[in-house]
Amino acid sequence: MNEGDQIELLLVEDNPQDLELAQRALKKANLAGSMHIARDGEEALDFIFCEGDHCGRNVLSRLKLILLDLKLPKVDGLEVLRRLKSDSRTRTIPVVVLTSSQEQSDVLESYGLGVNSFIVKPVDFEQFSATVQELGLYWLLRNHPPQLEK
Amino acid sequence: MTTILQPENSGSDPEEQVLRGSDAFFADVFWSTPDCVALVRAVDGTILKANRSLCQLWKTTPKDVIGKTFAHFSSWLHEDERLDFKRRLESDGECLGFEATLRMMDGRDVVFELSARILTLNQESCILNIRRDVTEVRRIERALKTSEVRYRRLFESAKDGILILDPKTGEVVDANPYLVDLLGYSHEELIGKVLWDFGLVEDAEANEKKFTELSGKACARYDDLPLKTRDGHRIDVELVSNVYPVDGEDVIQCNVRDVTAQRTAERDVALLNATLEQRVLERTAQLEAANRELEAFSYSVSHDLRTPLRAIDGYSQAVLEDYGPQLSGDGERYLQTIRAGAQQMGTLIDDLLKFSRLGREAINKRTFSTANLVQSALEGLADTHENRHVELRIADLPASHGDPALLKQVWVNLLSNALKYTRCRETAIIEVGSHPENGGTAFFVRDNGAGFNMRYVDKLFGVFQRLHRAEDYEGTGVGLAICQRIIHRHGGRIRAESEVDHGATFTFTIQGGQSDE
Repeated sequence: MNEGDQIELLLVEDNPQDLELAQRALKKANLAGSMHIARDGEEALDFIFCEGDHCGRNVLSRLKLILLDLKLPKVDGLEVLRRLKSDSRTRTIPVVVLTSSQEQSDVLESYGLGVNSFIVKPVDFEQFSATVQELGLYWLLRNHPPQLEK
Repeated sequence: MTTILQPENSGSDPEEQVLRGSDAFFADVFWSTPDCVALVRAVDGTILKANRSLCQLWKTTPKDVIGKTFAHFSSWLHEDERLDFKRRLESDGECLGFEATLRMMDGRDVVFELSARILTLNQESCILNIRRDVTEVRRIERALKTSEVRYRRLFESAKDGILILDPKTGEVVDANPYLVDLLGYSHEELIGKVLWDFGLVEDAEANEKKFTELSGKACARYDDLPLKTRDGHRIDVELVSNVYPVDGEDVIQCNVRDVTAQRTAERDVALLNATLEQRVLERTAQLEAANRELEAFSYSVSHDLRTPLRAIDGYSQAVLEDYGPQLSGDGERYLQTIRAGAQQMGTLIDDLLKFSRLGREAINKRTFSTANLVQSALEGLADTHENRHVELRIADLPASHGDPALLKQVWVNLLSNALKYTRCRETAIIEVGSHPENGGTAFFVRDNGAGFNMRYVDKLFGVFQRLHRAEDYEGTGVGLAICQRIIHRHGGRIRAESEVDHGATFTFTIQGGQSDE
């Protein structure tokens, strides 16, 4: 089995500070063990669809959660969401949008594309940590995802 | 039968005899001619002979007539006419076709065409007198003349051009002065000209066709016919033609109305409309572009301004968590102040975005219960005054018509202000009520709180404008600006009255009241 097949959480975040803070929160809750980080939309798609650097990975190996920022270089978050929700192999992977944007149009479009949850990052770091930890706990430990044929 | 009509010098030529006929023949002609004929003795006017028509005119019989004079049955209406007639007869021996009016014994005035001739019969000088009743003929002639004058006047003075054409040739038979004026050609220049032959109509061929059409139809109408006047400028006319027979010959009468001014005005209006539409399109495009820019701007603000704030807050917290024990009391307080500043700025950005979105979002109006809305606004604010003594006095409120979500924001802001600025009171008294104003309803929120100085009332509704110090009363200074924007978008007004330390009253109206659906 490829190393990438062990990954349960994909964190897509371009901002280094937000990334570090999210990692810090996840680590504190012991949720950062099987995490991969993508710094833009293209990297995220390569990982999800096992292309480029990730060609050895199996698309069907089960990711339990994708935390997706919307404003990303190269390919934006909504496009990543559209691609993975329109592919039968990746459609059932839970995706939580985690963004600074409060724009109603982003919320509507994300839900239209089939997002599982939409979270606005709070400015207050304590709230931010709590939110990320709750998300991790819920989707990685409590939620029961469908089992896929390998 | 006598031979009195036989002139004395009648010839003996047999041919002449045939031409002149017999006495019986003449007697018959004399008797039955439709003209009134009499023979009178010249010397005293005694009637010697009278025919049937004369007897009928006088309503009498030949027997009653013979031996009397004309004066017995009728009289001249004008003495000068009688004298004139007499003078001519005496000097020329005859007077033919003399017109005069005579009054009959029954009072009728009859116009006669009189003819008389002096002749000698049986050595006696006699006058043959023939009178023809032309009363009716003259009356008809007069009526015709009156009619002709009347219609000629219409023709001459009409404020529309009238053109009479010969349908066979297209030649102008007549044109009224208005048309002459309108076209600039003289009457003489127009008469006899073929309509499409002298440059009046721009497209002669097409107009010859039109003329064929005109003469073929009893009635035709052209709403827009361009003509060129003699001095070369173009006029637009409306032409209505009628074909009707006169004396067995068809005539085309065209009424020509000058509609140049009207058409010019219509063209101007059309042009104005077109440019106006163009201007509206341009302006709309500009507005849309500005709106798109604003949206992109606020999207960017929403995203990019919050991210560094999160870093400031997050890293401060990380320092506090990881290096807390190594920090002095001040060091920890400084970091907490940094965090508070970042969070305050986060709130400011959120409020500012909310405010800017208000200008762009669509308003969905409906009629709803104001009382329920106020109740729900108060419920949302319940935990802000948990341990305080607050007396709420809420009057009966009429229904509102507007966007409930937006108007709820107004109530929430006004009520939370009232709660905030009464914090200094042992018992906060907050009144909510309404009263009729300018045909609509005004709602108000009154408190007994800190109030403000009316000198600064103009600043009250401005964005980021605050009349109190942040350490006394927290806030971003956007709440009332949001209220004002929502009320303005509803076509209403908002105002405030206050006195320092004596509470404040905020009043707003929304246009249309509750029956504007």
